[in-house]
Amino acid sequence: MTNDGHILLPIDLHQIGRDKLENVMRIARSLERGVLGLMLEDLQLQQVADLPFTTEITLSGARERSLLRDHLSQRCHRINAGTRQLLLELAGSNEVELSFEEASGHRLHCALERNGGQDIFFPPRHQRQHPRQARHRTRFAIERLGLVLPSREQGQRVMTIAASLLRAGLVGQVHAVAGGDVSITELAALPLQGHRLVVRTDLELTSDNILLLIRRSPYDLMLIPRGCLEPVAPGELDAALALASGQVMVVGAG
Amino acid sequence: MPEQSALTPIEPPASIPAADLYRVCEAEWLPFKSTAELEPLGRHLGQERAVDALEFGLAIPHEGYNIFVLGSSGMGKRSLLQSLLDENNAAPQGAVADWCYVNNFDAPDKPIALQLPPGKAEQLRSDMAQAVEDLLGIFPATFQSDEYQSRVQELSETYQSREQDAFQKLAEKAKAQQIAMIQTPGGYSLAPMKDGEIITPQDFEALPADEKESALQVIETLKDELKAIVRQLPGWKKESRNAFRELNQEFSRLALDPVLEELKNRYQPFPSVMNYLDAVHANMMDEAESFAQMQEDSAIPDNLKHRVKEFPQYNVNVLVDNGELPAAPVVHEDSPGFSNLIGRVEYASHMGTLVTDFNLIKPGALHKANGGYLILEAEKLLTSPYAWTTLKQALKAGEIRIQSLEQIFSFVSTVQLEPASIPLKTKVVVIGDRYIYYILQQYDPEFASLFKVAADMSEEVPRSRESTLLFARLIRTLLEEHTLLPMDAAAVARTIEHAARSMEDSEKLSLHQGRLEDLLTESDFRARKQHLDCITAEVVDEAIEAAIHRLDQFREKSHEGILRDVMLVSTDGRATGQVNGLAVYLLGEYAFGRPTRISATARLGQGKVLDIEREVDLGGHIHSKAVMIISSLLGNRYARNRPLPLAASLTFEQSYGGVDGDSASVAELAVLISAIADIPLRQDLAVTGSLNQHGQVQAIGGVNEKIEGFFDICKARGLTGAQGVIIPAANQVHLMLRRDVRDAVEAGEFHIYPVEYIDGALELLTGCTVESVDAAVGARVEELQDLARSFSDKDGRQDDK
Repeated sequence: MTNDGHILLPIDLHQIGRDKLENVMRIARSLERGVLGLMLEDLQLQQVADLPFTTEITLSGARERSLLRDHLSQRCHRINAGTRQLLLELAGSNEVELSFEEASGHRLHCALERNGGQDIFFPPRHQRQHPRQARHRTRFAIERLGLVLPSREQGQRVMTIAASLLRAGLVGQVHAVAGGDVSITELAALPLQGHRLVVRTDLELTSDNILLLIRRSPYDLMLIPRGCLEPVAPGELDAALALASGQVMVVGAG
Repeated sequence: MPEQSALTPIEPPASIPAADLYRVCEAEWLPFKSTAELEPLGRHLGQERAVDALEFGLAIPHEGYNIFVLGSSGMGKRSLLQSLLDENNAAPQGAVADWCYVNNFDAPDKPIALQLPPGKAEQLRSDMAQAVEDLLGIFPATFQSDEYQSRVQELSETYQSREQDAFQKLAEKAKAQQIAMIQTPGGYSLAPMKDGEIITPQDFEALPADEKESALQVIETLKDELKAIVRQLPGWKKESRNAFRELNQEFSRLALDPVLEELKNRYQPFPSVMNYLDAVHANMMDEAESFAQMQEDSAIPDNLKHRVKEFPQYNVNVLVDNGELPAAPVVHEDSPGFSNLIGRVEYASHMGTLVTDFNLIKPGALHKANGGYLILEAEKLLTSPYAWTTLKQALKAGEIRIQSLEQIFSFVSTVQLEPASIPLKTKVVVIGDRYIYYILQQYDPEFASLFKVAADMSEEVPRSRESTLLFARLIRTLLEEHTLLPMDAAAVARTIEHAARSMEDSEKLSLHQGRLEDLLTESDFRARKQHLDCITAEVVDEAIEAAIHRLDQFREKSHEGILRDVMLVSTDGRATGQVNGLAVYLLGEYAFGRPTRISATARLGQGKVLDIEREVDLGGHIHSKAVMIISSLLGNRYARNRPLPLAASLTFEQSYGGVDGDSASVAELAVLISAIADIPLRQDLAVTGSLNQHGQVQAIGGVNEKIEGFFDICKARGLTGAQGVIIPAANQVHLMLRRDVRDAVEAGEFHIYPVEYIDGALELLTGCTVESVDAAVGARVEELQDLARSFSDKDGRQDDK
């Protein structure tokens, strides 16, 4: 059984950059939480690899290469070992409690079937920021923090986490997409310490719009209440997360 | 040998009266009590020639009319020049401008020179620094603005969504055909589905062949489409980059244009500056990113000022700032070395290597004097390696090109800075000794074309009533300039007499300002020590004596050697084959005279006079020439129609340091005659004078020192009343003897005899008529001829060399 006080970090065959892992650790430290690394074996991908005729079309040069199960396993093992090593190092330097569990299955599925109170951190699969754009944002670990606040109640923990991150000096700007009864006054009460707060109320937080937000990734880290993802089809959520270039943290009930 | 009784004695002629041994300054020529009553002298005394030349040279605007001020050291060349070249009012020789170097963005090793009106270069430097500081604040704000961020986000989303939509669309198409498009670590893979899940290998094998075939076919088609999408990614990324670049340029322009337009408006009248600002504009557009980088504390104004230093490429290196000058620049370069003249490029050490850029260009004296005047000292200029050549090159080319000596001599092959040359229009004034001028005239073919104006300082001025009063006014001027006590008329008179003594001419006054100033300064010091409020003649005398005394040690030792008979000099009695000659010793500014014994021998020989000094390389050329003249005179006088069968030798006894000059030739001839005819010469007389081939006695130098030198020895031993000095009559006008010598002459204890011909000297030295002396010599020559005939043999042996 996992500890609800941990941030869940699903780790599969897709390598996670050091900077993203550092962010996880910083966030965990500021929230006084531990990190649970969920080492996943992607069954679906292995199923694909089982088929004798399946190949991989690479994104670099559109090369076609074979997708052998053994190679996939070795690669998974290598990535997992490397990520594990890195996490241990970062946890030690940040004084964050770290534990590991193993599971089989798809990333989203395995993460979401955990206890609903847990927060889940999804690092991006792709880096699509223009280098110049990225270079302008070097002062803070989380230059632009996005808060999805469908309602006051759903947004309570999001606000709490945002406040902790602000107090820890990790955030440059706060962008809140607010709906329902979320008041600007409450948002302004965040410990901004001179940082900018941008509030957007014109976007209806429907499933499609939330998926769009995830896919488009306008923020370096987006905090989304788990509750507002429930109406979203897992496949679509998975697809959106696969395309996201920003970090997404699904905030549980706590 | 002729008998002494054949010689006819003669009384010596009258000597020069004491009054004629020193020309006093007429009191009536100085109608004042103190110099305080006099008007200062507004112009230099006796320098009309030099003043005319300087005024001409400074005014003429044509090329090549640079000036050489020539004269002895201490004449006041520099002060004369300064009196004519007023730094507050100097007329320009060309355009007086500010100059600066700026970066050449296309070729950084060739910095660009900008010319601006006086005061504007510093303004440009300040404006550029301010512009950079402003941009350091504006750029980050621009790229952090909501508008920029949202445009970036918009672009990012546009291109992101294009990719995502393409993959999404294909995934949906695949799904519609029961094919799953799965993301892999490196890309995507396609696999058939069954009931919404990836089909297992077994299930696939169980499918009918046509279904399998069909599925594989669909997968192949979808792969092609997938590859087509992937192949488009680089193009889309490039488009995205271009779009970002254009966006950045658009916002860079927004930030940059207002700042630079303001600068361009300010400098519109200056096309070269406008070109430079255009280049800056283009470069800043390319380098906008470096301006946009924020730092922790860059929002604080002081730190922006610090950050300006991170952009040295936009500095303006002000080489010459003439903003504060009231007139054309007048530059005195006291150390005219190569790089001090034309400037230099400095280097800084960075990570173990030497680096440089246009900011490290330093100006030289030519830059600072451009449009005005450059004053240099000849000796320093000519002794600094390559400085003279460089100056000539710059003047001939009419431009200043900064190069290192390594570049000129091609010693290095590494990249060097080649700053653009700067047009040069300046008047160069070189100050130097006369001999340097004539050497340059003789040996440097370029000198005459570049320095067409010679301002020749006069060393003296004729002594007259007018010049005496002017000299007094000059003294007054110098006393005031140096804040010294005034002088009374007697002190002025004494000073003027001393000036005549310095010239060795009673009818001239020395214009050596340096020596005059030294005398006035020391007189003032002594007067103040005695609590006087005015310098008196006695104080001037003290100063003169003290100055001599400070340098007198060698003279004292030299005379001591004579008085102790270490150096043999007789001052009474008679002797054959020896005479007292007189020599002058020059020790810098100080000279003193000293008697020296000259001796001669004569015997049967072939008519040659041996100059022993010459034989051992102790005799200079002039001395050798004088001995040859004596030989000719001897032969002409006593053996015109017959051979002269004697061998004679001459030497300066106890002289080991070398002799030169012809001022001893009267003495040398007299002592030769004494040796030939065995006629004793008076040892209580000393003689000085140069001879020509016809026996005329010519003037010599140092007559006062020579007389005083012999007088001092005689006085120390006790004056006999018969002692004296024989001098050329032509030197009478040069006499300015010491008071004690004059007093002795006045008392009849010492005598000065002027002679025009050798006959007079012979009569004085022998005490006999010249006819009887000649007869004695002639008789001896005949004797020698008889001897020669008796000794000659078939072999014609000769026993003299």
